[in-house]
Amino acid sequence: MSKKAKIILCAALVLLLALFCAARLVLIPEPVVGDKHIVFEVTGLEATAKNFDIYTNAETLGEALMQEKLIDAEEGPYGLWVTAIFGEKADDAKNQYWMFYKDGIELATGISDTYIADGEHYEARIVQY
Amino acid sequence: MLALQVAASGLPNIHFTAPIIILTAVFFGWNCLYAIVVFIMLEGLVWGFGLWWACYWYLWPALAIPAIILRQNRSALVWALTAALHGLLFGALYALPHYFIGGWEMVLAKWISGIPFDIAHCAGNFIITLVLFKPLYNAFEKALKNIFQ
Repeated sequence: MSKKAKIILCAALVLLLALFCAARLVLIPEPVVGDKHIVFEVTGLEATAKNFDIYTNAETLGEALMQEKLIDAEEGPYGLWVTAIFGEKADDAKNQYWMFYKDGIELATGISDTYIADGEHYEARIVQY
Repeated sequence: MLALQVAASGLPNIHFTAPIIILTAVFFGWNCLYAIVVFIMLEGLVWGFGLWWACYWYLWPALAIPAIILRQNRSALVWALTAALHGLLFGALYALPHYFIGGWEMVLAKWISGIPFDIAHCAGNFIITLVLFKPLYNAFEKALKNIFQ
C-alpha cells in the first residue's frame, strides 16, 4: 500500500475517533439540577390509567419514583428493575413486565439512566411478551 | 481464535481476535470465512445464543472481507489501522439491528453508551495488531511450512 493510502487510512481513523468523541459529548443526556414537576401515568392490567404529579429534585426517573415510593424495584447489573408499581406486580410467570414510555415512545434507557426535566410526561404500562 | 477470545474475556473489549482473523485472511484468502463460521458457532456454544451472536454473522465478516481484499499487504501499520477501524465501528454496527426493537432512538442510545468501549476496542486492536502482526505472521508461515512440507 502506498504512503498516501496509509496517510488517508490514518486520517480516516483520527476523523472517526473525533466524530465518536464529539457524538458522545453532544448526544449523551446531561442531568438537570433543581426542582422539577413531572407527570407519571400508570396503566395496569385493569387498563385504567392513574396520573401522579411528582415534584422532585431527583435527577433520574428511577430516583424520583423511588422517592415517591411509587415503585418496588430491584437493583440489577443494568440499574433498577421494576417489579411493581403502586402495588401492582408484573407477573414473571405470565411473561409480564413494566414498560416505560416518555410521551408515548418507549424509553431507550433504563429508569436509572433516564434523566428527567421539568414538565415531562412519563408512562408505565404492564406489557406481555 | 476462540481460545484467545475466551482467555482475554476479562479485559474490556481488548482481545486477539482481530489479528488472528487478519492473519487467517492473509494466509487462506476466502477460505478464512470457514474459520469464522466455526468461530461464531463455538462462541455461541460458550457464551449462549443472544442477539449479539446473530450480529457476529456480519460483524466478523466485516473485518474478514476487507482483510481478504487487502491480503497482499504485509505492513503491520496498515493491518493495525484496519483492526482499529473495525474496533471503533464495532459498537455502531452492533447497534443497527436494535432499530427493529426500539427504533433509531434505541440504536443511538446503544451506540452512544458504548463509545468508551469502542475507543478502548480501537486502541486495543491497534496496539495488539501493530505489535503482534509480524511475530504471528512469522509463526503462521513457519507452522504452514511444517504442515505442508
